[in-house]
Amino acid sequence: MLTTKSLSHHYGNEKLSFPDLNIRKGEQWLLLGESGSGKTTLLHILTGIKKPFSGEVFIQETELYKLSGQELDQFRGQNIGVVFQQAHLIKSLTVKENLFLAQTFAGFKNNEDRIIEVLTELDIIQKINSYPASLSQGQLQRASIARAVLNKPFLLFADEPTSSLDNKNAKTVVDLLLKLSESSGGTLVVSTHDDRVKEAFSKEYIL
Amino acid sequence: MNLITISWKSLQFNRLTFFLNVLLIAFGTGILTLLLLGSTQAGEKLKGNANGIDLVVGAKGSPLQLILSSIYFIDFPTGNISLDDAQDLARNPMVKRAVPLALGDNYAGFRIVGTDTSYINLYNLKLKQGRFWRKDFDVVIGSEVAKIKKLKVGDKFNGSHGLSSDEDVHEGNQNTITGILESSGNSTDNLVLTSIESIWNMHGIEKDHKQSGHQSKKEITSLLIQYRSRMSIVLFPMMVNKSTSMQAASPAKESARLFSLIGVGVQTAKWFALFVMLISAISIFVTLYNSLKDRMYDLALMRVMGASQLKIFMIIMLEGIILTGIGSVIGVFLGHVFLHIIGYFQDSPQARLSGFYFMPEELHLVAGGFFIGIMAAILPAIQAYRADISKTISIG
Repeated sequence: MLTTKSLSHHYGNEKLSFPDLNIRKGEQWLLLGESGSGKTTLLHILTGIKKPFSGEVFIQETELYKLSGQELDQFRGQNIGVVFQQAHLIKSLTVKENLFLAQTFAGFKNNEDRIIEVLTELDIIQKINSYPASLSQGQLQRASIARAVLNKPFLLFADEPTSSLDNKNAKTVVDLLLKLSESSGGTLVVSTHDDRVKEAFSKEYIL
Repeated sequence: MNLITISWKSLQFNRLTFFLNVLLIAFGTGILTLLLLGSTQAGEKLKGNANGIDLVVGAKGSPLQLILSSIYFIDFPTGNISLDDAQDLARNPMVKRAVPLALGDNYAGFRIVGTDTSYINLYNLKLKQGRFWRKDFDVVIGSEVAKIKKLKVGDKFNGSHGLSSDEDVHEGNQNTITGILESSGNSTDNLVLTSIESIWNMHGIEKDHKQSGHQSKKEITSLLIQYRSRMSIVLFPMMVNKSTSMQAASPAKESARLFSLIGVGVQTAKWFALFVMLISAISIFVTLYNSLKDRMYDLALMRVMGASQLKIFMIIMLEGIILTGIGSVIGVFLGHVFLHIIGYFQDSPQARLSGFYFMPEELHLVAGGFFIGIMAAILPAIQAYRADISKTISIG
């Protein structure tokens, strides 16, 4: 499903080498490591937004960095969902419009029923027509998860999804990620150094 | 959700900035539209009215004033000339056609012009209703006069002395409308035409002449002359100016002089409008460039969602194009509205400018607006196109 070979990257003289990953469909993994260990860099490489210095990334049979720029953008939009540390929606658009955007850029037709379904599952359906400025931090994070899972990606990545949340919201977010990936049969990879998250996962790579 | 909607929503999010930028573009385009329509209409009116007239002969004074008063019916005449002198000139072999004009009265600001059938032939005037004048105080009115004053054939009115007021009314003799002209698109639409004798009789000149029994004291205001041959262009005016007490003025020459005088003002206003357009281009550039700093994360997120670099480029370009597109269309519209307002308040109906006048060149102004939008947006769009998604997401 997701395999990597000899991935490395460097920032100036500092070189980062990553272990080879072999993650099967439906598995839930943690990427653990201290700050500066390269978790975010690896996640960006796996999601196709940062080209590695060397090595290969395969998602199913597709070698990610052999795709052209446009093919890679489309592949990412259709197959990969990402939840970032900073829960961020586009300020000028409502929650619904933000989710429409995810469907549009992935090349799918706008499907409001699917949006209602996801927002209901994440318990923020009442905010469907609200602008991001009126959402709490927890609601924002749930809306950004909704955006990541909307197109039913078979790979869902989350980069430090709980770092800015209190215990209650952190647990809710982790539970949601696990539940959503289980229900869709997709694969979940969470990068974190947050101890509150560790116990929910049985598989981990340590950087 | 398409790219235009995304750009539009983004512009709407900063309404004040959006409004100011649209206003700037609209202001610049509006001035340019006003100048384009105003100067073209003025030029057409000058050309259309002077068509077929090679020379105007009148009392000595300002040649431009003579042209303006006798062809465009705008300014006051320079004075009167003797009918005998005018008839002598009309008989000159170099003259193909001589059209006498007698001015001095008006009706509600519309000038009453005493002339003969040669004036009708000169402008190829046609009647919409009624007939031309046959006796004294029969008048034929232009289409605009009929429309504005709601007059019809058979109506009667009193003229007033002078050219632009209706205070000194000629109480004695009433004019009777015998015909209404078809619209010609020139100054004749705003005239009241009658025989020269009507003008003389209105002012008691015929009576004076009969009583004195001497040489005619009859006068006219000017003579519109058409040459028999182009050879006369130099000789005839020279002869008039040197050997008579009258002056000869060339419409072509004086119109060109008038345009060169007006042209300075038009050019200045044009440069000012272009300067405003330049300022608006800079303003749009600064707006997009500054907003890009705040929106880099948004754009990076769009890339993560699957948007290609080209789509990101297009979103920023569309913002510039939408801003200037709306601004320039509003500007062209406002140009028409302001021109119509100016026309409404113009003193002389003969030179009235209209907002209901459209030119293909206006599309060039709108295209120019789009071009400014493209130029203002291209650098921010390139910057957005080249943005490093990973770096932007990491910085947050």
